[in-house]
Amino acid sequence: MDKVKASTPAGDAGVASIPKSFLDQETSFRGQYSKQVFDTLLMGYRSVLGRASLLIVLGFVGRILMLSNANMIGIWVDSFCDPSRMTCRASPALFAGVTSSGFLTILIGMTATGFVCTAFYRIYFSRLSAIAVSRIYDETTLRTSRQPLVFFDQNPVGRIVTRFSSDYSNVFRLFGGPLAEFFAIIFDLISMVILVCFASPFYIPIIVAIGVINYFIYRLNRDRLRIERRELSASRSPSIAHFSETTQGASIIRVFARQSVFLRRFLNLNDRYLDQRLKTQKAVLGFSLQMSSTTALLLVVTGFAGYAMVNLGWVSVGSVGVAFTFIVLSGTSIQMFFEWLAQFEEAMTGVERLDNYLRRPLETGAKLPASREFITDHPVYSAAEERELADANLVSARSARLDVKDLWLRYGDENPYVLKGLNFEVRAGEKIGIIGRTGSGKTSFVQALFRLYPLSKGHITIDGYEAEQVDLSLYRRAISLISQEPTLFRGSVRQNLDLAGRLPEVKLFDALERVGLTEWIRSQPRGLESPIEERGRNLSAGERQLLCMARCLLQDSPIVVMDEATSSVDPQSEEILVRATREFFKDRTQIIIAHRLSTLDDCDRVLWLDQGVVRMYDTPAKVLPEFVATSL
Amino acid sequence: MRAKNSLLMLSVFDRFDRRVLVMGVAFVSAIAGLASPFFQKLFIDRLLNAVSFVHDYAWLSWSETVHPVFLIGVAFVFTIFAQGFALLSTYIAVGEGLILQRKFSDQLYRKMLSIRSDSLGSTTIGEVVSIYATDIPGATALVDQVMPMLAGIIFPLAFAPLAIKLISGIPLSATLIVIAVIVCVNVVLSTRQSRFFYRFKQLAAERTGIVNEWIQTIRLLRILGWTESFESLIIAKRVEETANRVAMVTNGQFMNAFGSSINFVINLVGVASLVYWRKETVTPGELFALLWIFGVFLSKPFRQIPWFFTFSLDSLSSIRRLERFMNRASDPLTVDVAPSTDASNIYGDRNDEEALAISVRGLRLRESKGGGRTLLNNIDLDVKAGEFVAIVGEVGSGKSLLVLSLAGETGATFGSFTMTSANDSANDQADSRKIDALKIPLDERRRKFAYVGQDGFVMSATLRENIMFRYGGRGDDAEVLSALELAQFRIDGEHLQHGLDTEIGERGVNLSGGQRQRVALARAHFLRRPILLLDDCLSAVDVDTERKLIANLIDGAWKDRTRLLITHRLSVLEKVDRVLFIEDGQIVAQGPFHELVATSEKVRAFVASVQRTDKKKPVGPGAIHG
Repeated sequence: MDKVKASTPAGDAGVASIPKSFLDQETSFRGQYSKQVFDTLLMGYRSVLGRASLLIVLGFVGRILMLSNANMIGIWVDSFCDPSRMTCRASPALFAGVTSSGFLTILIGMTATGFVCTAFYRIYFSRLSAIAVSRIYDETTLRTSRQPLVFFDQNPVGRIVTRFSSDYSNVFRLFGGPLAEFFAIIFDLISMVILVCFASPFYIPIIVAIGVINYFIYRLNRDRLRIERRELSASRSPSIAHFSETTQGASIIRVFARQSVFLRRFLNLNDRYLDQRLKTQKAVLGFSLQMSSTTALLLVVTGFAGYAMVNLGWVSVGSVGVAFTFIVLSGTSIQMFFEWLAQFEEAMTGVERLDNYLRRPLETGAKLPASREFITDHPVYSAAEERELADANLVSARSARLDVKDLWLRYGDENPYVLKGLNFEVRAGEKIGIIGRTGSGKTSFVQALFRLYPLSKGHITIDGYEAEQVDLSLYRRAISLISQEPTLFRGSVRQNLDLAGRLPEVKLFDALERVGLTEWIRSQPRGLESPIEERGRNLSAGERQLLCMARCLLQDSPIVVMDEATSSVDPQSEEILVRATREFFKDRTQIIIAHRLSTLDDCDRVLWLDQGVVRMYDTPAKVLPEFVATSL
Repeated sequence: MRAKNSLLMLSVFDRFDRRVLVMGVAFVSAIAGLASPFFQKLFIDRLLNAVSFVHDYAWLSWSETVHPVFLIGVAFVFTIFAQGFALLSTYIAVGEGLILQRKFSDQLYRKMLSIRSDSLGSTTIGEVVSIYATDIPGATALVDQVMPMLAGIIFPLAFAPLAIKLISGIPLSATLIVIAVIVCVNVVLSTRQSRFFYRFKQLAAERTGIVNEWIQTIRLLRILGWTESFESLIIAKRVEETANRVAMVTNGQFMNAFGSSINFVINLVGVASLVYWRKETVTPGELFALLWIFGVFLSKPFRQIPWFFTFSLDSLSSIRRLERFMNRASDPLTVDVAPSTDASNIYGDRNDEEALAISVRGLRLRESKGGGRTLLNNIDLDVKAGEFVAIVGEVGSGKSLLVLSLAGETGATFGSFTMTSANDSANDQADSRKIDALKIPLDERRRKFAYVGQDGFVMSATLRENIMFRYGGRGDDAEVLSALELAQFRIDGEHLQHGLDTEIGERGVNLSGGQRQRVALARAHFLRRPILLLDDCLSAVDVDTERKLIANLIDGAWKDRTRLLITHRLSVLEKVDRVLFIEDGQIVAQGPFHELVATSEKVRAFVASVQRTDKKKPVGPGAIHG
């Protein structure tokens, strides 16, 4: 499998020549989010929209009840007021006859209800939000795994994984929790404006001033904060990458006694990150300091204004107290509002990055499963189609005929053709070998056969069916691949044989028996559930090979492609491949991509590819001597 | 156990004066924070012309004579002080946290470099990396988050009861009981929270692992038609993660709701007790002073208490994980990692000694964990200076462990281990040319060896740096180029645009397995070591290149060095001086290849299995290029 993986555009060396950019050219915030991003968020929240709005109302009511405590206390205090000594405001008629214990009861009632509403809102809104955002993750996964392969050639693994790790984490963390907090702050601000109006509208200008000034401070700091945060994440990855690679190469470093070289390098990279962290922190604290001193300044202004207004007889003393309380609280809230805003901006960038993957076109012929929830411009299976496809086979016979007509292939429009008009056929049950030098198009042909890349021109048909006419996944099911460099997944033996878990256990054991792993599976204490580590590390090369062979047998495809390793492999692996061609897949149509000539004598015919065209296609006895003669 | 204490102790007591400074500054901030509402109260009292409690305290009488606006001015100054000092304390704490982080990273990296690969056990690379990437910043949270918070929480909480008593006459015991109850509730909630948080990190890491595998095997998944099943695998993990997250936000939001509502509840309790204590004699000024203490001064600590405990618990668990790793057995011999090497002396650690002979008696290696299966059993090995020895055997027979043990990379024990210099031009006695490998420092022993493994280690650096195996050094390019050429690595043929300056590795050009192996071989040549340990280092190069590598490098430029090569290829075996056949951790046969084939049944069986697949090769090189 690694073979096919390693040989992307332009043959074996091709992948090596695609440099990964040093600084990730990631989508970064450009000042405004496209409407699409909000559409995507809306799709996530769609099914919970009603409940979420209800909760928002509830949270708002709760907050108002809590905050109006201070108004009530103001009224209560005014009831103590002695009009002979100072300006008093009459208590509203509604509360005229209320005693102190009456006030207390009202206050307790308001606080308790307020707390219940607030807690209910916060908890349930955060839960809904966490679930809604993770829906975006699932939908992005569905679309990313159906991207054209060119996408994976152009983007390094790390960059793609980042979208699903740190970008998503950022979104997930902020939307599940802090969003409720952020809204609560907005409720606070709205309620405060309303309640201050009740106490005395004279304070409105002060609140507006706090808002406006904080906004300017925010604008002033925004770009710097953004740059510092980005620098921080950019300075993080080199030290982590260095740590990771030297962990893997520790023994080499020790043998060559280069510990000090690497330690110095590591400390250097680590310091760069730590310095940046201090710098970023400085920017954040500076922002915070600017905002909090503004709030303090406005407190003074409120005091002066209150003093003046009481003297002028415009406001009551009680209302000065209320306004004071609110100004102090709203100052903190406005500050928090802008601090959160800066963070949500980061999170929105994360949503934008996921959205970017969500909306890319899929590979030709791929369709989303019927269970998808987001409506995007992608083809989708109907439920009926899915049911029908589940058990369908393109060809029911043991082997199938393959026709290749005028096949042209290139990786992208700017690249040269790697297959230039191939024409040949493989009869059902025939065993052919494909030979050729590096860059002759052997591997490209395998990629084209599996339709991993779109054909530029021409047709490949299996028993007369072309991928476009039938379903892409149905077409691919008719071919299976054996690589001499087998790939296993982390999971159980069972998962590695049949990930979907559709096949009966008897079949799995039968396949294991045919490849000769019966003893091995019996010796495993957990049988089919035995764990397999990443890339099958915990198995020997032979076991890996045989397990992949069993997996291939279970695929039950009429056409089997065997990809030999480019390099020398241990004798066991060689033997297994020979057994595969002679025993396991005897009655199938076999295509052997040969990098050595050892297995070709058995073939019915040998196809010699040379620079993307068929040079010869005949019996081994005729092709091989000529090939050897030219390669010398 | 001692080491366990030391990391926590280091967090708390290292640069203790700075720790004290952080808390001192936070303390000043807390005092200023308390003074501000106090003056606000005086201001309101003056505004109301109320008969204030000020009358009871002679030292406060000055406040009656100043203009009320002056009082609000004083309140402002204290507010600014409070905020300024709070930020200052945070800033110093962050700086201290980073210093600690540097120390931890340094220790961890040294540990990681000296820990033997076989004592890592089942720990994956990812886990070690996550100790660096998440546990170290987590561990220092004790210093940069918890400590400034501590002063901001403890001091207001300790002073609030006093201030409340001073202003409103509410007894201390009442306030203290309320505070104690709140703290207890918070401890319970934050213990739960930190448990969810731990799980959250774990699940996210597991999911990222699956995503990584998914992207790397996307071709295979399509070929197998397993795309949907694999998606289900990712989504199942995502669902588990979301479930944990939902439980976590439920707890966390309750904590937040509690924290942000608590001051309202306290307001109520305060007002009620004031009213009932003092009956109807409450002044509005007193009421508002109380509300300020609660609202302005206590609301922040109450909001922070849950997070204070969450951060502390989380930080402690990170420290524990870090300590567990630091306590792992590492090399008994301390490796000198002092950065003393002079950077200009670029060839300083080359070893131009002539070939050495090796003599080993009674080499044994057992599995370190569990039952201790024997991996290498009583191996005696003699290699002549300049000899070319091939080691063959089945997978898992112990070939790699044998060569790694020679370089001190395993916990193997030796009966004896000597290396003898072949240099007989000097009139030395044989004895003086003999080095007891067990008596010299491990690093010195290692300097006799070059090791090239199957993976061909490549670091994220330029090609030149990879060959010279140091960063930044610019040396003799001609020599680097000739090393590359001997290793069959021609820059123009490998699609490297910037020649020796091309960045390779994770962050640069991605090299294929064969390219990596050739880079590793060029490095081994450049660094010139007398004994070469070649562990299946040709497995990923094509057959044609393999032939050239053997002819030009391994049996060419290295002709005079001592070489041990692990291999599977018969063609190589015909060229070596001697073949060792290893089975179950023992050398079961050795000698020149043709002799072995003639005498050893086991070797014949082995060769036969190789030949079964090799014999059909046509004449000549027998290989198709790549």
